[in-house]
Amino acid sequence: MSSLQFALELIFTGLCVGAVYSLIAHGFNITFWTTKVVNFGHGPFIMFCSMLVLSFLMKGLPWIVSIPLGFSIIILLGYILERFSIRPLLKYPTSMGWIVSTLGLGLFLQALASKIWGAQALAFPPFIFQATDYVSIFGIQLSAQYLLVLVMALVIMLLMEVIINKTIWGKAMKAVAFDPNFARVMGIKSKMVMTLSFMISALLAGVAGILIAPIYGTITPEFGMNIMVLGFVAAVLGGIGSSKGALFGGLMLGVIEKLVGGYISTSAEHGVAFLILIIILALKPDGFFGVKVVQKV
Amino acid sequence: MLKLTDLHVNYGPIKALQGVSIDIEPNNITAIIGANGSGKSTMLSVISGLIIPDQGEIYYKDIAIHTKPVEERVKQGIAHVMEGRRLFKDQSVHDNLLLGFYFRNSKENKKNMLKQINEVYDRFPILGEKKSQLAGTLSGGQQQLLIISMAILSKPQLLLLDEPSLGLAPIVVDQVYQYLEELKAQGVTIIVSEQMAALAIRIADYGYVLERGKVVGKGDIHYLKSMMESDEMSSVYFG
Repeated sequence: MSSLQFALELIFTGLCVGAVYSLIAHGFNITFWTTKVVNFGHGPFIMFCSMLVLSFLMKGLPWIVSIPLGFSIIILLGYILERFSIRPLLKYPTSMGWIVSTLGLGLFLQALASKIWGAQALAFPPFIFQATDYVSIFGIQLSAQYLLVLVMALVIMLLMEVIINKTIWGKAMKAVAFDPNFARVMGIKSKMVMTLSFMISALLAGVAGILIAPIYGTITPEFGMNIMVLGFVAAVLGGIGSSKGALFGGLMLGVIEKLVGGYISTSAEHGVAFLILIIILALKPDGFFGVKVVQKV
Repeated sequence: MLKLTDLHVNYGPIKALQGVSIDIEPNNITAIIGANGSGKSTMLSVISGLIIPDQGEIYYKDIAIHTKPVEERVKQGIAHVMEGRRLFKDQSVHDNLLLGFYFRNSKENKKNMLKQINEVYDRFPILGEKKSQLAGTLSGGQQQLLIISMAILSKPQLLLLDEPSLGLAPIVVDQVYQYLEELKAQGVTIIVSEQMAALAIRIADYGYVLERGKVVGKGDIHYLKSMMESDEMSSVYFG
């Protein structure tokens, strides 16, 4: 294999994994817009959905049933999260209670998963394609599974972008994000939009889990929290609250990680990647597409 | 049309309203005059439902509404133009109007959405010219016209305006006031709060003077004019 080919393959793998980080970053953004809360329970949601889908598969249900079932449950959990660990705290905007309440629910889910499915790693089957399926583009061998992840993550993000900018519901969500009281006066049910944002965010977490699990091959109760940190870094790197930022931050993080893994050592993947990110953030503290905080007069 | 009885609102130890009772006649322009911190904004927010009073009752068309959420009061025809020129500044002028229309109109009305938004552009051509610009890029006066246009897209019967003239050039204030008179002629009941009594009495039929959360004076236009000339008034409207 030529060195160019090797580099291209690393970049491709990085883009695929990065696309999932972008999805996770998007999940953070959606709830951040409407409530200014960073949902630290997002990671365990990623894990819980893939665990659920896996257990349905093991019970003999087909993919076509398992995935919608898993998504429905995770959306319901998103609703519960907002209703019981976010909404009561929004009355006290200066309180940092949401850090504890979101993280707390996340850790609870993680413990619950250990209790139900055990703490050991479970094998997650490949989705649609086999691990050995390859597509050849410009002489580089691309894993079909990875390609699927990349395409699906990009399509979902594009879809979200269209929904938010082109539909009245998306505009209403932006309105609530900008000024919830004014939105209420315009007849928009701000609280409902906030709840909805947590449900959509939970769904995105679920999608990310289902996409990443076949790539990892195995899943554990902790894997969600670990990958969430990467999604969080992607969000901060791109500038929290920015869609463009989430996409760019995720892809960049993925590529850096895989290049480090390929040329230095896979065990250094995260360490070196984070080091680079710290340097970037030191130079650009708001991230690449940081949203300027608008002073409300 | 609207009746407030013995309203009390406290923000912690601060008593924003202390037993306010007022009566609004339909198809009138009522001015609420008072200095900063006299409770004008609180009173309007209590009527629209953004603030739930600690004590007291609100009757709108003889129905008690003080426990109903904002969204429901909006549907019953109460529109609130809040202080400080609130707009969705990160969205276009056109999208602001869409948002002003969509969630407060029935399915039946929604068929005429674009027609009614075009009527806004006919009334204020400058908004039509700038319809794809971000609302935050408009001048203060244009923003105020857009905000009032958004408010009336729900076809309100009761329009609350919180200091609509604040920070506007006199010529724009004239434009805003002229529009309010037009709305009154169309049958809208209007409550407008002002710090400057001299401005309010230009359009008001009736007025209330608020001081530290209490009604300290009320009367028709003659009363307001006589008060303005007396010493009593100057203590109120200079704070």
